[in-house]
Amino acid sequence: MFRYAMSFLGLALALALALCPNAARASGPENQAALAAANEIPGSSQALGQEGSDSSTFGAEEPNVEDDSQQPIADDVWGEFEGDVKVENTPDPLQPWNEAMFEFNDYLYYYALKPAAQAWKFVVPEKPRRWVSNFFNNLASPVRFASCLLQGKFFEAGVVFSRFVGNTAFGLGGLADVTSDLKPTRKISTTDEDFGQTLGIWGFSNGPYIVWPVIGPSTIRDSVGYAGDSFLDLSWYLEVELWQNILIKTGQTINDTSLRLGEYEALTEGAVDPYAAVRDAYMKFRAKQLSE
Amino acid sequence: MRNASLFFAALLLGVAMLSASSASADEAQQALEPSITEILSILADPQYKDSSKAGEQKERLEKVILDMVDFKLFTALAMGKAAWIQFSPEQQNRLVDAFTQIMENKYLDNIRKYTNEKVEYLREDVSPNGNKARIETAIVGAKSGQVPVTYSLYKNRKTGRWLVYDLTVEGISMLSNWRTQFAEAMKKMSPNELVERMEKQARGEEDVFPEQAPAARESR
Repeated sequence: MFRYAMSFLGLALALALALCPNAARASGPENQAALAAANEIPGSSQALGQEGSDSSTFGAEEPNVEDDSQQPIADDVWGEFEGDVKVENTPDPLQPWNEAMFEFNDYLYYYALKPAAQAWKFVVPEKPRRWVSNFFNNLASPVRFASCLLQGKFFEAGVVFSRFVGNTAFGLGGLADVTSDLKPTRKISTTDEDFGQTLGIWGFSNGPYIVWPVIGPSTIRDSVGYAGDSFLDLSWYLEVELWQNILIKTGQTINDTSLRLGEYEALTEGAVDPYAAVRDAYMKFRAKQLSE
Repeated sequence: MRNASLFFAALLLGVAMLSASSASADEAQQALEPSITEILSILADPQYKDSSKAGEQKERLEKVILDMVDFKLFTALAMGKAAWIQFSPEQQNRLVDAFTQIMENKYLDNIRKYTNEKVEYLREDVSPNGNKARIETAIVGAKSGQVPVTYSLYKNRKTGRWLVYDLTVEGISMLSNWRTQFAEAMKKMSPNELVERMEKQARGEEDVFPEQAPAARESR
């Protein structure tokens, strides 16, 4: 048990092969500023009201930005819209390290993970790849279960638990996500929780942004959460040798990536600064997850 | 009695205001919906299954998108006032063109595979003065699962048209994402260098993506 726990931590950090595209969708929570950023979208009419900081000046002669494209953007237009842009003030004292790791991960993605995922995709039809993905997702149920409990989302935790039982028993050990179409008896919030988000709910702030080799973008808090999650992911408790487990995890990552090809490209392609683009996307996405 | 009439006046006024705001709420969505419906129908159009017609399809999509998005405002807001005014009007125009081109390259090439998607309109919020709106939608389809997309629109007072100036996907606002990037870029290069870089990228010279070169390479 202890052996697994130790291998876990090391592996979680070094070998989960959850590269940037995954991580950008995967784990962790946010500080107040980032939360505010997420609120940008839900846009309660109240929030909208505050944005147009001087909506009263938005008056008769609004310069027509669209018609006469030669016109400069006038001051009141700036006033009207500037509030809409929520600038991310992610502390990034580790930027030199982070940029180097970002570059490393980028190479890893294009020269190892992506070709492997493409080959896998070529050989295996989508359905079986979904089954593999479901299987591992099912094994990670304890992560979501515990995180829901720790966040006081008891009904959601129950939903996670019954899905786990249902999929394991009737979905061939989790290969088929047979419970995904079943609606809970009442409306629930998302069950896509992890320990990083839990820490955020408890009031821990993000801390600096950090990019791990192989794992990808994270923050200090999310890194702690990620390590914690690893202990509850049943796929680390299979009765196999450590190296076999690493192999399995690598395979899982390749399989998951094959279902998500193009997401990382969509984010970084055409970007003037891919590093900044990914950092912003990670922080915003986590802020949104935390708010749900 | 007097109180009663006041009460009624207030009630009437309230109703009038309510209907006013719902009218402009409809307006924003009514402006957005035909464009999106058209995009979806172009994507679903079976005649474009043939990849030799991809160019024609792209042109049609381009037209709809140019009609629906205010790229100048988009670019300017992405840059932010402090940075934007460092560009000469001529540089600004080049920047807008390059930015538009980059967006088109990026999205029109990727969007083709989504042939059977639906858009659900979830909710909309209109600012109190009725000239800005946020429309929350979800793209639902076999390829995409369910993706939340929020459109930010404003109403041009002169033309009365609603145009998109930001897009938020999965909580990630394009405007903020580009602001972050531009902020980093402006630390490293002059306005002129940035314009030239953007233009190179728009022409696809700098951007040797996707297979040959990692993303990191071109920013350094």
